[in-house]
Amino acid sequence: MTFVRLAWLPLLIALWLTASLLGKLWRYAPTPEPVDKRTGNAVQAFLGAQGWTLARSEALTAGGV
Amino acid sequence: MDAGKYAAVLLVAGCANGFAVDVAAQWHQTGVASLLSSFGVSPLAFAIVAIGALVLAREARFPDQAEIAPGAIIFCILTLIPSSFLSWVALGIFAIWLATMVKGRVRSASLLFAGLAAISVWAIIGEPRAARVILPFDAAVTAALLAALHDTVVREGNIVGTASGHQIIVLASCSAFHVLPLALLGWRAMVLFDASQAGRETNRNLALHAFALAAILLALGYLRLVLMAWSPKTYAVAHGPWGSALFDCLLVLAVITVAHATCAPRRGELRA
Repeated sequence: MTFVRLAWLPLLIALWLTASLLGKLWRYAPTPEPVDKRTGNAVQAFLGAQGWTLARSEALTAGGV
Repeated sequence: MDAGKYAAVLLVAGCANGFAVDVAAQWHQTGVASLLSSFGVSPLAFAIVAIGALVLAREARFPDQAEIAPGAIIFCILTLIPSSFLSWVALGIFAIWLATMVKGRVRSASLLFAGLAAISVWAIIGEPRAARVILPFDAAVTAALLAALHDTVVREGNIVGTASGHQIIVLASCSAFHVLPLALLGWRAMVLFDASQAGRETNRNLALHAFALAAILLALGYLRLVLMAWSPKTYAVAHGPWGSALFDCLLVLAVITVAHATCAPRRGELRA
């Protein structure tokens, strides 16, 4: 039985390719930026000060604005 | 499937491993729009891989089919290690090893993959180091050419521009030399693709056309750098998406034209 006559070789190559690609995608996956809670709070506080609330935003969206 | 086809599949898969990182990064940055920039991979690289694989799959006849097994297994194991750099190194060694077992066009096809691997390794290791010499040289040539259009040209290191305030920093990707290796390899692949050229490739013919292509590409590269350094308006044109696309098209056109000229029958010669 030689290397090229193995019937399951294409499947093995497909598995190898998938594993090798997934390994690289995992290794080089971009790290998500840490969410700065203080910034988020500051934005919400600013929007709140402008009279902008989630409820108002949803109402506007529902109204087609 | 014979060993030639297996070798082609493995080499293409090795290239996919090498490009995976660039493709993933491009996809992350621009999403579906990365389709328009062929996932950040040069169309020339796709052409090289396709031509190399086609010639290998169609024409490779290994003396003993089982001979490629040891190299293929080691190559597959090395490629499993999640490192783009190591993938290219493994691909280069595997391609050179395959090239030692065959002759003629198949050897050239195998060496195309080795060339692609060498270019990628060069881009990772060599180019950042060589940039210290190449980029100031690029800036000096740009300054010399710009002096014909502008009275007050300033240049320091890899910074070039006019005294009126518009100056550019020449980076590695803007260098006139940056595209040379891939373009020359693309040209070699296209010459190889023309099967009617088989047996007529003389070193002199290849060297002459390679020099001609390199000269055209350097001229294009410096034209773009001069436009970028001339004024903010010309910078926006040459460096913007349309300018980039135009220069990329001109590059591919130059490669195809010179490849065609290389394969064209010489005077007094009739093609079968």
